[in-house]
Amino acid sequence: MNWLSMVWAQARLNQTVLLRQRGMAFTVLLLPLFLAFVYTSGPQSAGSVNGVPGAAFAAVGAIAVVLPFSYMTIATAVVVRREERVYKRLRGSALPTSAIFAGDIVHATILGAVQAVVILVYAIGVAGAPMPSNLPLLLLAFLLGAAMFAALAIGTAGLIPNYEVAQLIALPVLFLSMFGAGLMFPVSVLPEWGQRVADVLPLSPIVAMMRTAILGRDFAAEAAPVVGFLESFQVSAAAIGIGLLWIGAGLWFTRRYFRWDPRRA
Amino acid sequence: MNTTAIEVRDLHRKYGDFEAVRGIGFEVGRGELYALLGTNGAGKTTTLDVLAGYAPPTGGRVRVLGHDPIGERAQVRHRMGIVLQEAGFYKDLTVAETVDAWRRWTPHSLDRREVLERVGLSQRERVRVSQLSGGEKRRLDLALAVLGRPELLFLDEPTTGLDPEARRNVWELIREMVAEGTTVLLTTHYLDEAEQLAQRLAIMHAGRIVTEGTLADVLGGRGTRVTFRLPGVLPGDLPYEPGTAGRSVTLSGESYSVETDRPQEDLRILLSWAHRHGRELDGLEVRRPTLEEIFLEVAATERVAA
Repeated sequence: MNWLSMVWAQARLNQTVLLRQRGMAFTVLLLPLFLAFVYTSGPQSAGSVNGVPGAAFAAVGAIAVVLPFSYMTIATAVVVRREERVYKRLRGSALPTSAIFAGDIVHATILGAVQAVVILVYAIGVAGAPMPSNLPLLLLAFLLGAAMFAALAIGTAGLIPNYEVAQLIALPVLFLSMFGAGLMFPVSVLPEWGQRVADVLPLSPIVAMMRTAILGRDFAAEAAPVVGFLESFQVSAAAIGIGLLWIGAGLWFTRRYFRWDPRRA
Repeated sequence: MNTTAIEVRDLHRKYGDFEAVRGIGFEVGRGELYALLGTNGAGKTTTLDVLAGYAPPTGGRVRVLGHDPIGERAQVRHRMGIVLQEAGFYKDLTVAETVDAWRRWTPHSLDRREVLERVGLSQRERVRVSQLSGGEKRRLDLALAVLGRPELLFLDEPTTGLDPEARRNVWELIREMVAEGTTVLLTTHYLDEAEQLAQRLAIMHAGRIVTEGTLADVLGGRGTRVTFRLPGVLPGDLPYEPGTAGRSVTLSGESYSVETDRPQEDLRILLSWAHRHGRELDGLEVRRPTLEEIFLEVAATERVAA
């Protein structure tokens, strides 16, 4: 019985449990797809951004919407299992602790990846986005985002007392992420300082990387010049840095606040 | 192979300022069933938490199957089974799904049918865990704990809240496990449970072990009790010399209790006295002290000392 098969067993179990909770399953499985669809058909999608059709620009950004939902999946699962003392039982079984965490992350990441692919296909097939110009960068952006939101979910779960609050917290996380990444309205309408804050919110660097990876342009620069394969990694360096800082913050929170036992104990 | 399954030396465990366990030591041999007895707050569960690897000791050391249960967890976690007082289940899964999920990460596991048969849940495979009764949940607890054929089983108050029949079933299962060579560490506040199952036991009170040994050891040194009711008879009227070593007479209400090291002799004296005076010894009883009495006595002594 190796570690990987234990992780897989955990991930499978998480999925079974998720499907039994209808409301939660609907939220995390279908809502991101719905949001992405609404967003790409809204008024933002009219016109064009630096020569890229608005719908394509929006659809590419919408792929990143799946990440705050991973946050919701993981944070809620951690809180529920802790409060209902399922963690206590899991830790007393043959499972290593690392496999419990890894199972949560793998489960949420696979869900997110499937959703991201669906939205990407929609972006290319319906919204008129081009085939990704830099697939490795797109993959890197997704994995970095998945790691970031997983670390933040596990880290902040320690501060969340119960299931209801976990659901409440997930909403502002979602809105703040979408807002910061310019998915709700263009960040350019904000004052200068507001734009700086928005740039460093968790989802923003991921959205920027995904746009560069798919559309092959650097939207941070004036007039969004076309960038080559290696150049697209270079212009994403700052975004990768911000992503790593957020992962660091998530790990710090985990060290500081994570707990196995219920908060009321 | 090492013959000691559990070794505890001068164990201390603090929670903040509160010291739940204050320096205890005991050993459990392989294949033995050892019971930790005590009231709520005696430190039993804390001791078990340390042994099962949930919490590190704040002083002293423990060895479980020859290993540190936290530092060397990888060596022991698949060799032990744990039944906790209140560990949760995934409520929305069925009994079968729960066992199947656990089997996926338990090496050398029993198959589902076998383990459910064993705990008497075969008929409840398709039922969601949230719909099980308290006793059935306890049996599912046990099923998951014994799933990996553990060498060592920790049972934290395994029959609390069960009806008498369910209790006897759980006892039967525990006896079977012991018969197959499993070492069991059991905590309980039911004294009859320890009497029924344990080869050796320790009584804990306020974080310390106050008495320890085989049932005979713990009962030993305490006289047999002769109890009866005699309304209107003063202690001085009884045929016993006051202040005799090895015998003490106590009166509470109309009930006498004579604790004696020479039960046969003292009983003969009492019966012939009653016969001579035409007295009826109401509710006459002769018995060894129960754990309950020892337990109360220990608790009372500790309270005086404290």
